[in-house]
Formats: sequence, C-alpha cells, structure tokens
Amino acid sequence: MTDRAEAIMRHIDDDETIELTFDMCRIPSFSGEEVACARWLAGRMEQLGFDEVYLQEVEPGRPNVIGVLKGDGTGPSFMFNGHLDIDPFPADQTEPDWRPSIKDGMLYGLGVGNMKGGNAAMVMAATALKRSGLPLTGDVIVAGVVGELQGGIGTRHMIDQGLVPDIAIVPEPTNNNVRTIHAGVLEFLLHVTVPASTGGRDRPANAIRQMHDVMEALKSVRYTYTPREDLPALPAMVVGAAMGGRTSDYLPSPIGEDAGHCTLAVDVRLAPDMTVDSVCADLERALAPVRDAGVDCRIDLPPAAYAAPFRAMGLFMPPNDLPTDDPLAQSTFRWHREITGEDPQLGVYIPGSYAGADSGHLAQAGTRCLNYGPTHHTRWHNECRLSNLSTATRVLAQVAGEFCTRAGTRRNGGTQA
Amino acid sequence: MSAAANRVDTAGVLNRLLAELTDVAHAAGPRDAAERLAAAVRDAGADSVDVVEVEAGHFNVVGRTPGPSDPRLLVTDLDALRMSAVDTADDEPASVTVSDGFVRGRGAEAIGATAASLLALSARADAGSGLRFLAATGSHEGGTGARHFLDGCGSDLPAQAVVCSPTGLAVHNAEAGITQLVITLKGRAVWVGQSSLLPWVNAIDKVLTAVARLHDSTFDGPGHADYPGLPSLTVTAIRGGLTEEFNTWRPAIVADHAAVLCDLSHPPGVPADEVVAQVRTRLDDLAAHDEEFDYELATPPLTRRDPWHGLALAAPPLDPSTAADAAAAIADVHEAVVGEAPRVVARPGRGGGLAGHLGAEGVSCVGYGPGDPERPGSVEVSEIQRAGDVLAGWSRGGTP
Repeated sequence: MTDRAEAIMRHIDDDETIELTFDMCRIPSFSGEEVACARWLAGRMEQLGFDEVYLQEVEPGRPNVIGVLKGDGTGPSFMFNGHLDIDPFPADQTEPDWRPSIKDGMLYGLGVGNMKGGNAAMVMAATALKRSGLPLTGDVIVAGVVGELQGGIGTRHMIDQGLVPDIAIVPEPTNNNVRTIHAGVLEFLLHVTVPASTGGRDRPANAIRQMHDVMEALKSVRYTYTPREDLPALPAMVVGAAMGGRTSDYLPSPIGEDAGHCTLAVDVRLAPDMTVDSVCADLERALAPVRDAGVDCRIDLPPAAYAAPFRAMGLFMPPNDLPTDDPLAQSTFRWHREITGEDPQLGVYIPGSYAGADSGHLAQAGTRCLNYGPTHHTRWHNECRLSNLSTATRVLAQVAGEFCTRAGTRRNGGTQA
Repeated sequence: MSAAANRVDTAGVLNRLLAELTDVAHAAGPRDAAERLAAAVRDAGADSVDVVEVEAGHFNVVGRTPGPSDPRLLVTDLDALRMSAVDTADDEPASVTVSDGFVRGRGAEAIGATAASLLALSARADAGSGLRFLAATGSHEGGTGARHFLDGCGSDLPAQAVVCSPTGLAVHNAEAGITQLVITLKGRAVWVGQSSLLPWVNAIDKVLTAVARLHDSTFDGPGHADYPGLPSLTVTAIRGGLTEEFNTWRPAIVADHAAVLCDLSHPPGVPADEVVAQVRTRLDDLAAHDEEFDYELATPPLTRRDPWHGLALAAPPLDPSTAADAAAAIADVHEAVVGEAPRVVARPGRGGGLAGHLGAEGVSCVGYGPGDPERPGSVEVSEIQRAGDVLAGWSRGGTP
C-alpha cells in the first residue's frame, strides 16, 4: 500500500460511517419528498469540511445537494453520485420504522439498501480524502440527487446544468461487486379509451374490460434483441400501476356507466442492444390483434408517466456498458481485492444489472461510470452488511484518491498511477 | 273546482320559486343550500320546516303544510338541485332564465321538478291537509336522506309518495335497484430486477381477470320486461399499485393491491343479495382454479373518500305492484288536468333512485315531474305548471 493509500485509510472511521447511515435512514425521503434529506446532507457536508456545498433546485422545493472538494484542475473530475429518494413501502412490510438498528453485523433501516448505505460510504470516502490532506488534482464531487426512481430527473438536471464529471461511481446496490453493465429502463403509460356510453340497450364497451385483453397481449410481446447469457432475465416487464374511470380524470363513472378510460403504468428493462424505438415496435406488434378487435389503445412514452397522478419515471434511463478493461473498472476491482483479499464480480452483477441507474445518464453524457456499492438486493432494500459498508468506504476513497491525487510511493518501492 | 281555478298565481309564484331555487343552486355549501331551500318551502306555505342533518355535512329539508298528518309525501332531490351548480366540467354555477315559455340553463330540470313540488305545496298550504315534503340528500350515495327520513317516521309512514323528478310527465312506476361492490385482489410485490428470482403475484393482472369474468357474465334471475339485460355488473373504476393506497409512482415493483369499483344493477323482484352471491360464486370459482387469486369483496357502506366515492347504501328497486296505488292516483289526476292519460313506464337507467327506499317500506311511490330526462337544460314553463296542478290534485286525494 502506498503512502497515499495509507494516508487515506487512516481517516476512515467505520463508526462515523455507520452514524451517517443511521442519520440518513432517520429522514423519510420517498420520491418527491427528498428535500429534508438534501438539506440535512448539505449541512453535514459543510461540517465535514467540503470546500463548497450547494443545493441545486431540480423542481420547486426539490433540490439536489452537491458537495465539492476542489482540485487544482490538472486531473480528471471525479463524482460520487447517489440518489436520496428511496423505494415505496410495500404492503407486506410492517409499518415504516424510521429508526435504524444493528443486529448480527447487519444494519437495518428504510432505504439503506437503495441507497443510503452507498450514500454514506461515498460521503465518508470523500471526507477521508479531505482529511488526508493530499492535494487533489481534480475536483471530487459528491452529488446527492433527487428522483432517480423517477427516471433520474435529478441527475439529468445536473447534467443539463453543465455538471458532467470525467469519471463517476454510483454506489448503487452491488454487494461490493464492480458493476459496469446495467439495463436501460423505459416506463410508459398504456391507455385504453372507449366512446362515451350511449345509454342504449346494447352493452357499451368498457375500457377496464378491454384493458384485460391488452394485458394479455402485453404478456405475449416478443422483443427484438440479442439474448445474453450473462443477462438471462432481460428484457423484463412489470405492470406496476393501474387507474381507470370515467375519463382521463380517472374519477369513477356515474352510477351504472361503463368506465371510459383505463391506464396502466408499465416498466420495461431493456437488454443492452434494445432501444425505445425497438421496444415500441415490439409492443405495437403485440397490440395489433387487440387493436384489430376494436380496442383503442395508445402507448404514451416519457415523460407521460411522470405526470400526476402517476409520478413515475419521467425519463428514459439509458443503459450503461463500460468496458471491463477501463482503468476505472480495473482500479475498483484492484482496490476491492487489495482491501478484502477477494475478487469481486466484474461486469455483470445479478440482479443489480437488471436495474437502471443514474450511471446511464452520466455515461450518455460522456462520463466513464460504473456502480460499486455496499448493499445488496433484498426484497425491500432495507439492509446493509456492516463489513460491506466498511469495505465500500475504503474502496471508494482509494479509487477516487488514485484518480484525483498525485501518484504515491509504495512502501515496497515503485509508484502507483 | 276546475284545474285552472285551482292554480295559485302560478306566473307570480313560479317566477319567485325559480329565483329562490336558482339561489339554492348558488349556495355556498350543503347547509346553506338546505337553509335556502327551507326558506323557499316556508314561502310556499309550509308552517313546519326543518333542516335535518342526516350525517356530517349532509342535510334533508323536511316540511309540512298546516294541518293534521297527511298520508301523502312529496319528495325532491336536494343534491340534484344543489349539484347542478357544480357537477359540470366548467364549474359555472347553475343559472336559469325564463323566456319564450321555457326555463333554460343548466340545472333547469332539477329546478323545474322542485318548482312543481313547491307549486303543489303552495296550492295545498291553506287546505289544512298536513301535506308532507321532503327534499332528500344523498341520492348519489344510495339514498341516505330518504333512508334517514323513513327511519324517523316510525309508524307514521306515508301511504303514498311522489318523487318529483324529470319524467316528462310520464309516471315512473318501477326502478332498478343498484348496489356497489369493491373487489380487491391482493398480490405479492417484487422489484422487476428480482422478478426472475423471487415469487410474485401481480394484483392488477388478477383483478383484470376478475373483471373479464364478471363483465362477460350473465346473471341468473327471473328477469324483468322493463329491464332487459339486468341483473348486470358495470365496472366503473380501477386502481392498482402498492399497498392499500394504490401507490402508483414505482411501477418497477409488481403491484400488490388492485381493486375495481362495480355497480350492480338489478330489476324489481331480484334482491341485491342474490346477485352479490352470484358474483361471489364466480370469484370463488376463479380462486378455486388459481391459488394466487386472493380476493376480498366489499358492499355498501363503501368508503366515500378517494378513490371510490362509493355508495353508503344500496338503493333497492321499486316494484310496480308497490307503486300501483300511487301510479293510479297520479294517472287519474294527470288525465283530468292534461286531458289524456299519461304514459306509465319504468324509470329508465340502471337504478339508483329515491323511490326504491320508499317502496321497500311499503309506501306506494312513483316518479313524476316536468322535464325530459333525456334533454336536460330546458323545461317548458307550462309543463311545470301542469305538473304542479297534478301534484296538487293528487295531494288532495285525487281531485284535480
């Protein structure tokens, strides 16, 4: 280990990382409700000595939080990007408990898995760099973003505002594996509309009844893509929400009148060679027989699903496919091995590679980007192994140090890039 | 006494009533509407008028002309009068004008029907008959106001009643009954990325299966010549998402709750419970063939909040045999006033009127009033006057 690496490592305190994780898990931050968490994190990063901390308003009252450690501009800019919004609360969980806990080496808390554990690791990794006193060549940026679960609207806004780093790690749940590949995500609305009820004796059409036929057609869709053995579940589709009623206002129809409008919210996970256009063409083919039978159905692409009342993904989330021999991937792999003595998975990580992530937006903007985070995919993303949290903090800090500080000298001689 | 002589100063009274009833439609809220209507009822000659709170924020107006208790009851729909102002796309308040012999404008039919009943009340004000009047709330919630009134009558139930509603001066002697169901399917959520690894059940898929089965079903029953196609089930709304709140913002997670709101229409002679039992049988059959088909079925009282705004009560059907006495009485007076026999027909539609509750208590009840229900927004003034004359004649025991 180099002097630089040791300097960084000395400033990582696992208890402090756990405390930061606890603090974030205590703050509810469902999508659209991230502001309290963003403000709290801004204050915390100021306390930790970040050179610059600011809120970047994505929508009124809904800010990203950005913390910056300033470099001298001679090296690449490096971003840690983590989303503040957390998954909703399914029915088969108990009531939300915003009091995190530790048991048997695991940290339990709402949202810790996706991805407050990763967020804590990235903040403390950057803090370790700051405390090490090593001069930075490039800026190290910590971005806590809103609305990743809604298509990455926070990161997309950040990019549109011109904040595009050269390199980024998004510490999404990868169980400390190096995920360089993930799916693209398309969420769209599918509407069925029928003419207003005539009130006659013939049974009028009913949009909800017709949606059953559309649902059956969706199950039969055959996608155009190249199957990949390492991503066997792609493409995948889920129908996650439904609303229907009188009209597109979704109010119940008046007494005895058939529903005139029904909408499904659909999530599709794209294999790497699929595009929005190819998905739409595949869907249109599947829906053709239903249309031929007289059903008026219509696909409504992003940003439709973001509009009220759905508030789902407002953007297409592009896939990411960073070559595994990229220096970022190799560095992350190497540091994980150095710290744990074990090789992480590199490239595809199942099931994490079936997720979308802000890394897709960053990659599309030209950032070399991957995912490496301490948590893993449980059913409800509410747990984090403490040893993983410790490892991730160290690996993230060392990778950032490798790209954003001068080369260090190894104790056993030689230098490290 | 001739029909013409029996009329009060209809032009003057009607103009005043139209102004007062338009004022009701402009009320600030349910209580204000009820109090404004109560004032109009007093002006029409009732000496005992009460605004009765049926439940929080919902009011009946109950009145009676001076005199001992009369076996007859005039009923109007207070909510139809009030909601004519707001249940529209542009939310413009109801505003009617009287010109060229017509009352025109949104809400005209509700105002016309209520005006006819108040004309009759006015004509009977000095007769010492104790004619009863009810402006009932809750017609769109299963008839909560009518039910509340009947529960308060005890043994003093009216023998006959007329629901003054737009019938085009036809006598409606039958109504379909209606109840509502909320059918909820429970699933098991999982994030899409784990859908190939963990078990899941999509509640939306299951509820749509139920919809297809029920929508395509025909229900057993004796049937009714006036209501072909009934019993029938109509799906009017659906919600699906996560938890009982139907969270929609994370469609990447399989929906664990989905539900549909259904209206169940049934003809006279077929009780709601029998049709509900048939629905349950079909759902049980689906469950028998699919162990993941986990359903619940709820009947009124349903939640009246979002998303369902469901019925608080089932509205029972009105059987023509129960309506027979009132239908004959109204028809006789109508023929005397108008010069020809009225059409005596079943009320069209899939149910939900006020008359069914009265009929269910043994009150002989019909619907009768001015205005074509198929052509809202316009009522002939002379038709309101004729309806008032007929109702006044009926209220004095059949003498026009």
